[in-house]
Amino acid sequence: MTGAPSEHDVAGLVRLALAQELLHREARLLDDGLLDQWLELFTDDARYRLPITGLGDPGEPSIIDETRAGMEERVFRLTKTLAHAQNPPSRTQHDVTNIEVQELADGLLEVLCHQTVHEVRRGDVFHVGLAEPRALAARCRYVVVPGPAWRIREKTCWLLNRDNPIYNLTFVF
Amino acid sequence: MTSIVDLAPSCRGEIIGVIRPVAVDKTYVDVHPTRLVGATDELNEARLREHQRFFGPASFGQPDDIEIFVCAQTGANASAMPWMELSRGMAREQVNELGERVGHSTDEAPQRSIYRQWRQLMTAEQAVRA
Repeated sequence: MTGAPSEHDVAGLVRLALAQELLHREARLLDDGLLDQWLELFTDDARYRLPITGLGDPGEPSIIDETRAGMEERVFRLTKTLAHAQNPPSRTQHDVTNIEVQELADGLLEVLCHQTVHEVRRGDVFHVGLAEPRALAARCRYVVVPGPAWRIREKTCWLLNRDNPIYNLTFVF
Repeated sequence: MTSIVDLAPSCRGEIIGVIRPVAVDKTYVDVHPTRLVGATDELNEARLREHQRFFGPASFGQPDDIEIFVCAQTGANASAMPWMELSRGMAREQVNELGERVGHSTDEAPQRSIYRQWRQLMTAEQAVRA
């Protein structure tokens, strides 16, 4: 880039910064266990998916494929019930990198990123399944509705290890 | 490596389970949903959605079951108590008109039956040929 940045460049950089802010806020809410506030980042017609194969074939099973109602049930289960698989609960750290933003039709934005979620269930090392830190990597695609408060319409994460058995993904990725 | 494949009816539609023991304390379980040939796409998609809601590492059902298995594994590792106790519901087990032992759905009647049969086979006067 030579000379002064164009308006187009500046607009792109602002969008990138705002996308990063949204993703970092989402990560912080998840890692702090503020799941009700995490839900508020999403639109009413939100879609949350962890696919196994691409996205094309409607008959293909996914690890997660839910609408807003499913996401609310997920949060309810984790915050209002005793879910055995989250007792004791996971401690997570969502690291977000490689953020790219593209404009879509209808003023929507596509935000791509990489996420690495570090996770450990606190507890005694003699208790099977506890005290074993894991790093789960995924490439993610968000469809975002920009505006005074950016909202997420779609969150799709392709886990690196999605073809193989995975132990306990009951925390929110 | 031995695989165990089972066809099981579940309330979400028939599943095909492939159970692969990897080590004494590690098992891979693949649960495959099924499609009904001749059923509408809507019905099959609804069955798949229900399947995903219950089965899988991020689901609302199976991980809790697995957590209990994991807790049982932890207990089996314990050295302070060398015995496994399978007495749940022993007092209310009944024998039906077919001679079958019947227990409450949450009792350990099936577990006791396995060991009862093992003892019978191991103490039989003649070898039992499969």
